[in-house]
Amino acid sequence: MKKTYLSALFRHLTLLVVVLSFAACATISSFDQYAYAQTTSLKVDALNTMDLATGNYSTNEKTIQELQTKLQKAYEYEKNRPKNEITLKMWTILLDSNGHLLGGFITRWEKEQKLNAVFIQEEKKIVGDAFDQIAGLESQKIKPTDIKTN
Amino acid sequence: MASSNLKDYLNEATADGKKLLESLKADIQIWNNELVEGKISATDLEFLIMAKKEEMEMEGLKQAGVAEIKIDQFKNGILKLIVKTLEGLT
Repeated sequence: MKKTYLSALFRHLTLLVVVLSFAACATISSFDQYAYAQTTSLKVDALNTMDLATGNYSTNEKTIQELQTKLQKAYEYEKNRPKNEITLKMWTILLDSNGHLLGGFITRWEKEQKLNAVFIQEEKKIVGDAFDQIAGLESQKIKPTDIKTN
Repeated sequence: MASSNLKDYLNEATADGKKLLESLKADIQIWNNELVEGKISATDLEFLIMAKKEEMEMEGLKQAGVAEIKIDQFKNGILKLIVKTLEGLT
């Protein structure tokens, strides 16, 4: 009788350890409503600012700096979320000032002062898709409510 | 459950990859025409191709992230099953 009880207790404890191990090791950050809303909102701001690139960089410097501040804040937020390396890498590529997405576009605008309207429209499609990829990954992450067992 | 999740994920990832490659092909054709018509410069074209390459890098990262999400969903499924089993024992 005592042996059966101990054996059942051992089984339960083993299962409990397995449960706790699983619960403790999520591979990627869970869904964050604020991060998602921030990404979609920044997409609109970025694309609207890119439209201004037919005009002089120096004339639009204030708008560009406001956008860059918002982007930096979003980046810092993502940087401090645990297990968020993939999303952070995506933001790094998007904002790289030596790259060819949003960061690189702003660098080129500053360097050349004005950009071609057709080029801007084509670049906007790519930058828009890049924002969608970040938002798309975020929206597929597990919602904190789904982690609950019931 | 695991094999069906994995199959769904592989199908989605393959479809996304194909879609991106097709869009790259179409975009290069459009940009080439714009270059010939003098609507964009060679520098613009080069910039756009590099931007598309970086977008594809981001797509690869997104797919890696989705794979991690699927792993977590699988782990959650097992966790729920274990908890239900434990509840049944008490």
